[in-house]
Amino acid sequence: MERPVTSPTPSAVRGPQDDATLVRDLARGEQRVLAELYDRFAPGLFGLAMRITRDTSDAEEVLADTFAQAWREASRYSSERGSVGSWLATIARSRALDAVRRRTRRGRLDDAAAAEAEVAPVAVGQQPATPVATLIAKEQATLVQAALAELPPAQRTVLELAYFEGLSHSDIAERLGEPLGTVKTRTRLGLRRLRESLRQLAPGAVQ
Amino acid sequence: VNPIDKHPEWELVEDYVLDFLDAGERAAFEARLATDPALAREVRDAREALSAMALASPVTPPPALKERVLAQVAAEAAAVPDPRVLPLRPGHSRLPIWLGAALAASLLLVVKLERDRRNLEGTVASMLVSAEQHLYEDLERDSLIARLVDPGVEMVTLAATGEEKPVVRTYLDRAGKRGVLAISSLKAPPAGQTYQLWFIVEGNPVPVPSITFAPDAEGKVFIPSFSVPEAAGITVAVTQEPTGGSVSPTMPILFVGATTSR
Repeated sequence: MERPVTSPTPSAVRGPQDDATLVRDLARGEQRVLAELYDRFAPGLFGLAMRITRDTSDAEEVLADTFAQAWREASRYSSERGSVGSWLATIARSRALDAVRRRTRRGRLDDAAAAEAEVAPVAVGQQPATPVATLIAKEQATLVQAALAELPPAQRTVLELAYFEGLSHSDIAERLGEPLGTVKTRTRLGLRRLRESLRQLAPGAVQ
Repeated sequence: VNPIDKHPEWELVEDYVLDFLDAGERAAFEARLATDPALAREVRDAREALSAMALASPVTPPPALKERVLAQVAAEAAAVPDPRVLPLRPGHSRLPIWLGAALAASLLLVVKLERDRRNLEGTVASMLVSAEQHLYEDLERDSLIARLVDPGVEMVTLAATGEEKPVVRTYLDRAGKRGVLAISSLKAPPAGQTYQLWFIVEGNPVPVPSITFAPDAEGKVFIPSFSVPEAAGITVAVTQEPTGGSVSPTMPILFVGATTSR
């Protein structure tokens, strides 16, 4: 389990402009900034990778590959297209879904585990690697979780199946035994409602 | 007025960011996205919301992972090949004998005729350019064939948006980041105009460096190699631009198609 963490230091509190500056430095070949990006985003990205892969080893691989890809493609990042967090999350999600597909092809996927809607909390490491960053990520996460909790459960379910499992409309309809049109409507309404809730509850999470 | 009533394409924003659109729908949406800043903002906002959801369950990674990540990147940085060096396939791992002999002979001449160094250097440079050109042509032909038959190559047929219906195809090697363009039955562009190839990645047009073209007398175009960006989904488009090409596409897009692989 993670240890309790202490209060954040001002130097650890960064905004989207700072993040974009870090990525610009990375694009110039300054590898040292990768450690800062890691401290800031690794907990969220590792949580995402765990949620999708449900496997610690795969999630570690995904996290490593995500930062390696970020390093290679830093020059292509544009802050106009989205925040650094969104950019990294997109890379990590794609890598994690690829890992699951590879595992499925190898026939090692535990179907019973995959069918579970929630992932149990994962205890990894004896010491939190980045306590301050973890605390900030947790505070932000609490606000986002509050926004998610405002979604009707049916809308949240289709959003999560689409995002975390990479399922198509028809896959979700089949999984839930719901008409395709219902799934399409729930997905659109769910994401629009989430955007609105985030604007009100966690404006810092959507730059 | 509901914004979606005013902008019906906004109805597809959620489907787009969740990868629900098929290749044709995605290509059409991205063509619109490239020229509609308001739609681009909607897409960005929707992506930010999804990312907030994605990152909302942080888990502390194992402490040793950070060092592993940094070491992996450091190793990659050290191993990045010099792009000026042409990669040779197995069997071409050494310079051909004739090229090696030409180089050796040239170097001997340089030593012996030092007084005429300037003239001789010009001769040697010409020999090397000629020799390299033949070598490159051989390699290019071999690698082109290899690219087209590789199972990882995806053929993207571009649909025509106007009345003219030439056959416009690209062959994209996503892993090798190289592509081939082949067109038949294409009309010559008007005077002062040229065709230009574009990629649209996440709604933003990316010009393919120096790829402007016009058909030959038979209406054919063949471009054996160009760079392909690394991205999950790529839309390929052709527009007509002033001779010399443009930095952003002039509407309308004449031919458009999208990759199906992610």
